[in-house]
Amino acid sequence: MIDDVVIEERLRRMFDVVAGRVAIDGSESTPFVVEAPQRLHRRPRRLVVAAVSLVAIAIASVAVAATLRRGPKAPQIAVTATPTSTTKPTSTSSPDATWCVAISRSQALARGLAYGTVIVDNPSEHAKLVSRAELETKGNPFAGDEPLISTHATFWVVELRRTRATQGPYNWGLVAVDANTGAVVTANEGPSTGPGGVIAEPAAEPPYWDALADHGAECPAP
Amino acid sequence: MRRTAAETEIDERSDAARIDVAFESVYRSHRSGMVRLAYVITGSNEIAEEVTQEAFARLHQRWSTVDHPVAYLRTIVTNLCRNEVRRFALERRRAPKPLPDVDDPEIDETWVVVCRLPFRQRAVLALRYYADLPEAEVARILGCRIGTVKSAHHRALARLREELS
Repeated sequence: MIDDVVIEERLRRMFDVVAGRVAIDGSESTPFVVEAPQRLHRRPRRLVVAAVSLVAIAIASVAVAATLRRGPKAPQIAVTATPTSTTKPTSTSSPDATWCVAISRSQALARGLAYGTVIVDNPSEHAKLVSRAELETKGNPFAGDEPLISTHATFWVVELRRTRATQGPYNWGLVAVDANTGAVVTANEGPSTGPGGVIAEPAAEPPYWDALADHGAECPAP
Repeated sequence: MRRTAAETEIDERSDAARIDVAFESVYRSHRSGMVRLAYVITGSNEIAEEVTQEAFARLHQRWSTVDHPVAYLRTIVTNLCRNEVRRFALERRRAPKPLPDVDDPEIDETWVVVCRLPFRQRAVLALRYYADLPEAEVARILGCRIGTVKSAHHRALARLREELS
């Protein structure tokens, strides 16, 4: 039986060779003849662009108004990317004590963002410090990744949420980062909506994230 | 101060010129890469050319709203390849695809097996091993979950292992 490493190496070589043999008019492919497509010089439709911009502004205004109207019944969850904040974030179920971990909230946010922007474009990002048991509570989107998760104890769960309409297909992404090593353990993304993957309004929070407690991160002074 | 119609027209023209220059730059830099990507997914020069042309036409239409042109192109190219593969699947079953001019029997053999894989598995292999993209980006392009990509990847490797042994 051939080893996976051998197959992977062979695949890379094969694709390189095969792609290198792509021929236009039966000849060797490189360099390609570069010709502009027929529709290259079409002028943008300014009215359409202006209308789309107006709709986007209107949607953003509604979203801001909705956020402001939330009030104490539905508090804004988690702490944003403020790097050195040790304030315990508000949450639907606040834990009693903060934990001391090697990776700070801002480091976790940076890692989650670096990994997750391929899932959600231009996101707003938030992070919560949780245990493995909390990570694996009912409704968690990491089902199937238990073998990956089981070797880690505490996690920063980084939530990336769409802030405006882009061409990306997902509403939100959750990235689980090991709170002591900074390794990205697993990630998952929320559903896409809208034709062609275009989502015209800010994303809703995943219910799992909303219910997740945040233990914060605070280490005793040396 | 009111702007005259002539001034507005000049501004519009210069905006359009800037867009065309930027678009042409992307076109020149990435066209061949997109044709190659489409080729390794579909195995057809003609389809690869058509798909790439269509993807650039769509990009041009949406230029002002697209933040990442190359990521957008990859997505469109892959999706159009999927449509083409579906459309021509029956014909392909009847007439085996001609192999590219490759002398290495190992590569030849691997290509034959890859061409027999279902679209998603082949696309995952092409995006992972040819385009060198991470699983999350492959999932985004194919519009599926990362778990689905992992599963397709695993199945494709298993099939290759079985058939190449």
